[in-house]
Amino acid sequence: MKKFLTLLVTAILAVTCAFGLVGCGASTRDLDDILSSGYITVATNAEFAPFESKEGETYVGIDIEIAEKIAEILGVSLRINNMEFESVVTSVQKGQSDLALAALTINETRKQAINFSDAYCGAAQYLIVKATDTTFDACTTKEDVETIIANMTNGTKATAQAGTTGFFYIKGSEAFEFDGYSNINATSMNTATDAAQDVINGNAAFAVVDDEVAKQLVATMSGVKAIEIALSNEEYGIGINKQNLALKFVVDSIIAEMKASGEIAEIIARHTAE
Amino acid sequence: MVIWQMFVDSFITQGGYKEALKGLAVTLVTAISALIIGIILGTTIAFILLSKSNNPLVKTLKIFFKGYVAFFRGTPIAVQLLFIYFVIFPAIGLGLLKAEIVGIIIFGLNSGAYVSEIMRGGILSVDKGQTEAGRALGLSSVQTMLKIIIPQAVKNVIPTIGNEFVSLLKETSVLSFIGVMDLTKAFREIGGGNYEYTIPYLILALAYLILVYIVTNIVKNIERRMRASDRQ
Amino acid sequence: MIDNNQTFNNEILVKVNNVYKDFGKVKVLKGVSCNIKKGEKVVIIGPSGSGKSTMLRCMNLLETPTYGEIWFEDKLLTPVDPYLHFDIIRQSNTYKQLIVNEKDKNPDLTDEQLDEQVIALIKKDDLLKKREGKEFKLAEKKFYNENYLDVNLTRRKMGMVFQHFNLFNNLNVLDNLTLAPVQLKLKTKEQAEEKAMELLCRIGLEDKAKVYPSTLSGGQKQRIAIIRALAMEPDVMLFDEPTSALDPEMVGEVLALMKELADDGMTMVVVTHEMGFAKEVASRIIFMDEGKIKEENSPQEFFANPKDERLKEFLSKVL
Repeated sequence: MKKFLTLLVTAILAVTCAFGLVGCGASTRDLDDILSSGYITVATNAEFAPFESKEGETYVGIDIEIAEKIAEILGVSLRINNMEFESVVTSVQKGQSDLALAALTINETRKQAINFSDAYCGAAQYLIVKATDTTFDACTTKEDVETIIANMTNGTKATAQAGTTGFFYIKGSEAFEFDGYSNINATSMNTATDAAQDVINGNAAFAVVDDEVAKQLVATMSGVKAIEIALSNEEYGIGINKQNLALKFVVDSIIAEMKASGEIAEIIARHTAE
Repeated sequence: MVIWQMFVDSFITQGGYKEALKGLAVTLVTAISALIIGIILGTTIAFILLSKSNNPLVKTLKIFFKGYVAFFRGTPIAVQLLFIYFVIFPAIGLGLLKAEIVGIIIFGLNSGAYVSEIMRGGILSVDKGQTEAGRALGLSSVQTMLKIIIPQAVKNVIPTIGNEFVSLLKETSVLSFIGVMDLTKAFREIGGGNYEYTIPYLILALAYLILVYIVTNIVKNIERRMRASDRQ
Repeated sequence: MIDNNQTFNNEILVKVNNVYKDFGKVKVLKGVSCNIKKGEKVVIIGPSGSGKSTMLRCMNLLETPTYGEIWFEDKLLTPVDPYLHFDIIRQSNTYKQLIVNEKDKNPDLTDEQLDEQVIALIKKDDLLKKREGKEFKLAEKKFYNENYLDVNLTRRKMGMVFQHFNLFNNLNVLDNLTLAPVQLKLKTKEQAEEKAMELLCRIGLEDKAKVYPSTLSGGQKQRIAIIRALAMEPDVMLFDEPTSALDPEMVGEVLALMKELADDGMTMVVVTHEMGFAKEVASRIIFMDEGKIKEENSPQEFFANPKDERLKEFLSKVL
């Protein structure tokens, strides 16, 4: 019993500490801090080609190039914080990273935690199925696909990367405005590759992944194909801490410039050329 | 408190508590099943590794089990999960096994390796005279082992087996690597619902503390009862 | 007091034949031979390290001889030691070779003399090699198959009592007594329990049937250990320093029980330091020193007229 009381006291202290931490807010770097420090940190999950991935020691991808451009314009060096996707938003929210560039779909829930820059890229969700699977071959519209999924056996397993739009598409989410499928067992895997691997192994019936990423996966992994019908429509934005309005202003103008000059389209085209 | 409200939203209003309970069930079922598999497997392996028989089958098994124990004690459980679930099982045609079942199997195999070392120590710690007396009466080595040595070895190793169970409970926290929702993953998803992780993680930590506390007490109880039966 | 003129049934129960025992580099037994006849009470004494416990433990193969053979009631317990069987030696290539050689050297020896000489040579110099040819191997195998009996079966008829009792700690007294008979399907549970209670009553410990060994005194444990061995109805009882680990006041009760057994006619081999017991109960006393049997005699002769120097020294110190 005594031990339990000690436990309880520790817990209460922990809560108070946590309260304190959240109360005074994370130690965020504002634009001046970034400029004077000489570097900017970007949170990402480099397992999402063609947006971000690693080739040996180097980070490559659409988001990486955009990040490099932002750093160049600000006159600072770029530091990539590679982490699990689910931690990307929190990293910026707590001030541990200055920006989040991770094919991050803009949605209401995320907006409560962080700010987004203006959208820089559009995306849709595609299905990935086993190469030999003909279930969806006859589909031509989004509704076709949805009907088939809704009629699948109860408890069918489908995968997606943890925390991504694709996952919430299957599971359902108010914030994303997805109904989800109650007959499907939505399983979250650490990476999009893992989600696809499960489909290749036959363990999952399908996976839901962002369009460009789906195409990339299909090109590099054998045994899967993508059903290229947009199941949803979203936009990517760059995540910025709510307190750093100056940074948001700067990033928005950079993005606007890159869009107008066609640079973003060119970057995207280059990374999706294969 | 905003964070408290957000937690209530995610946990109660949106039904996150159901996921938490499911996750808790997965954690407990995996740990308990793995322990049972581990004890059966581990005791068998210990018995074979300690055997002095010249039987060629026994000798082959000895080599195989030595390799098996080395692998499972020499690699992190997370690596074992990834390797076996994504590589080995699909290669040998078990790719369609449910991830939850695979999780139990892998944790069971892992536990078996550790328990075999525990049991080996336990068996060796039983006084040699017990074996000699059994054999001198004409009992075979198997009979002596089963009826005299192992019961005493088990009594000696109960605290250590209890520790193994506590380890299992905690190690299941990486089941998410193969897409299984355990207690940890459930709370990560609860927090991930609105990106407010403070209270979910706090409660997650407390939950494990309480689980471990309960298990440790149960083990102490069992140990006390087994020792009491010796003092009639 | 055992009547030493009593004629024994000549049946040899245990035969220790030229046994050597090495523990790594340490040679503990250096060629001991000993026959235990039915009804004998053989007491083995000697300084520590003399190998007396080892020889006793070889009898039921708790230690396996490095060379030599152990027999129990005409059954071989150890592998065949060819040096002990002339017929087998004669099948070896070495023998055949040497016969030829010796015949050349000494052409006028008779076949019998040749045979004797060659065999003596082989034994003296350990001339048998690992491979002695098919006939040799066959002879060995034949002998083995004809005489070998699994040691687990022979041990049923040899009871052993240990210095540290070795009662099974996880079982109560009754289960200790009934485990082996029941497991080996020699008795049903009821029969075994009946016999066990009978034995317990004999030593006045019937009220301890359900207790666990940890609650008993040393003397009680040892007496129960003795009846545990008796429950298997053995033909010979081996005692390895049965009272050495007991407090002095309990030594008496254990020795008394052993004397009772002796009076009932049990064949016994006892390694002990208890000279009084030896004098009173033994039909033969063996003195061992440095891995060899140095002297054996009836108790009267043994104590009255010791011949071996070391024995004289030993007796002067312990008596």
